[in-house]
Amino acid sequence: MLAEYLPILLLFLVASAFAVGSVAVSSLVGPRQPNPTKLSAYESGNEPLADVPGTRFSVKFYMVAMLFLIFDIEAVFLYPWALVFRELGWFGLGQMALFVGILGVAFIYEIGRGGLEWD
Amino acid sequence: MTLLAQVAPTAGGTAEVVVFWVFAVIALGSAIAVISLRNVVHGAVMLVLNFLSIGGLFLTLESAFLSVIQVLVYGGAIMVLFLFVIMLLGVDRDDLLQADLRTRVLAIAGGALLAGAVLFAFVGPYTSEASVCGPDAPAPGPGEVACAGLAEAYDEDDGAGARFLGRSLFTTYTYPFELAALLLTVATIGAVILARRRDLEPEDEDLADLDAAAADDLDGDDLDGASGAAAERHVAGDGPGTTERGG
Repeated sequence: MLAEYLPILLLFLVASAFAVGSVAVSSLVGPRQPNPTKLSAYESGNEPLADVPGTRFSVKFYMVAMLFLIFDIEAVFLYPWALVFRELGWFGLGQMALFVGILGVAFIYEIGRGGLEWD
Repeated sequence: MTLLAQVAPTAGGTAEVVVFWVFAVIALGSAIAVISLRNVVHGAVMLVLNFLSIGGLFLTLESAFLSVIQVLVYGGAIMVLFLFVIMLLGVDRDDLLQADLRTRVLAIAGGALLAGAVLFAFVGPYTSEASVCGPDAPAPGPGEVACAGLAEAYDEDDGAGARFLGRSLFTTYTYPFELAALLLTVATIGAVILARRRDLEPEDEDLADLDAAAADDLDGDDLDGASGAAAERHVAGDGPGTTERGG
């Protein structure tokens, strides 16, 4: 039933109230003495690199994300498969083997083509 | 809200209706924000909100598994892909948002056509009286769909719909399931081909076989850094056609 999720809803409410409340209270009662260093994006770290308009990221990040997506979806399909594994028997095993095999082709291809090399 | 009543007849309490409306309003509002915000990164954040609220709608339908999957796959993996594409194209590229009148008209027409097709094909059959689950549902006429599947889904006792989903996915819908794997493979190979025009090392290519001895020597000597330069020399020495693989 939906009532089981009431604690999760309460958790969301408390978390949102904490986030909004912190910002609101600090903007209300906090002292304001700004200087250029305080106003920089990272107060004691590096300046952000992407301040030039049109800065573009390398496509290599996309390769990593693609691999992440493959294994994410594979894991998602493994869960309902594992729940009905005994009912399905060898048929289910072969089915999942084919699925993992097809995705394995993509994985081996990306590794083989140096999709994860960072030159 | 006929559709909600049709989908959740046994749990059509007040709380469900309230939660449904909250999530539905958030989903629609964030969806409108996705296509109307000028800043694409803000649009992407609104898309995350949209995915989360659709996960909440799945929860309203007592399908906890689909809800978690929606958050994990769409709110996680798919959004990472979206953000990387935005970063690849450049965040501040306003010129990408320019569209002439012809493009706009075509886009609106295409979107309306797609939305109409989805409504007609998927929602249409479920708007009749026969699709309302319950003991007093009339027999479905031509083009109407009876309340089906939900009774079986509610009979499943794992409470999240995961077992039911697995049973139908791995028996009735085997073919689409394997096709999904093929689709992912094609997408990955396409991304690799588009992204990596030039090969790093020729060791797994056939041109490495031409002078395997020399390659072995080089690989043995330079373990770090210099092997890339060695690969460059190999590729350059083998003439045209080898530098732009899969381009």
